[in-house]
Amino acid sequence: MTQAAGHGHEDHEHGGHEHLSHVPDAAQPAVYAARAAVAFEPPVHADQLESAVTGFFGELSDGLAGAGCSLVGHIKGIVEAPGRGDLAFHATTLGARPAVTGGLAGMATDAVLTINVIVFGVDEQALPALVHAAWSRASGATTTWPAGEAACS
Amino acid sequence: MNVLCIAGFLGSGKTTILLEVARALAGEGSSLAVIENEIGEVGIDGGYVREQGLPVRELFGGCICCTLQVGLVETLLSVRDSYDPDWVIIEPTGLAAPADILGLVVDHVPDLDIVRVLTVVDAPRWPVLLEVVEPLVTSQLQTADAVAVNKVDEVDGEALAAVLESVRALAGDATILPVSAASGAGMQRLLKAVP
Repeated sequence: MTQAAGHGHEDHEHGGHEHLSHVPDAAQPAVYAARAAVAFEPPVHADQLESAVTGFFGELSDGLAGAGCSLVGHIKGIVEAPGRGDLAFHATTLGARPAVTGGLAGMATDAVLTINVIVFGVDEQALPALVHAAWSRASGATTTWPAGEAACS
Repeated sequence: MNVLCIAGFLGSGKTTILLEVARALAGEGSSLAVIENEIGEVGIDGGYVREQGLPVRELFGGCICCTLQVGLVETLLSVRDSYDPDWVIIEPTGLAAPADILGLVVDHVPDLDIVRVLTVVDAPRWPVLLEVVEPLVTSQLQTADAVAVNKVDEVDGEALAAVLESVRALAGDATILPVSAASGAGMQRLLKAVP
């Protein structure tokens, strides 16, 4: 079985523009997916965690726009707080309020954040730092991200 | 065993439509299994589909139309050996070319009865998708047996007419079905037409 060509997520060439090879192609997807451990000190109420999710989208939208994002494939994820429920979210437009399902209750001391971001026109190497910074600013939590999660590199 | 591949760009509503199709098939007494593919190293949709009571196999960290071709064939054969369901529904990543999946399935999984492709189109985003990723989204239409033009409740009549005209020009003989998976509009017709 051979690798198929033509839909671009394997092709990181920028033909004819070697001197601009750091400039991402607008049609080239950048992918970042990770599962991170989140610790809240002090514990946060469910409402604050929900606000953090919304704030994360705002922060990430700003970061992606600044990084030249031409198109959002999707930004989706889920926050799971043990014994407190879970909150799934997704968006396909920068700056849009994410669609959120599920619910959280009570105070959370820790959670697991699973995130899957596919965007176009952004340097894939820069994407993890954008996501991490956005989550850090929005949540204020101590978050342990795994190393080397970028896909299709 | 029959195979239905639900293709379409990221965020077009594939998972929502998959669940509706799965419920309809189960309601008719068909047994089924779902194969979820996500390009990242961790998955989200598989867990959600599993919560709806469906048996799910997940393939992460690549795309079944290219880097995970072997994984798809092995998974399909394993599903047949383990469950032998009436239907396997495959949800590839939104970056996948269904023609490659179709060819792979037909060539490497013997004795399938029916193999169908349903492509989901995101109506509100169709113009920008054509602008940025035209080769990909047009390739997703070219082998479709049916096309669900989704989120029709999010566009006005003029915009919808333009999307339908564009899709019709690219989708060959495929059946084109305007739907809103969120509101349920057009879904009964879709469920009768697919698979």
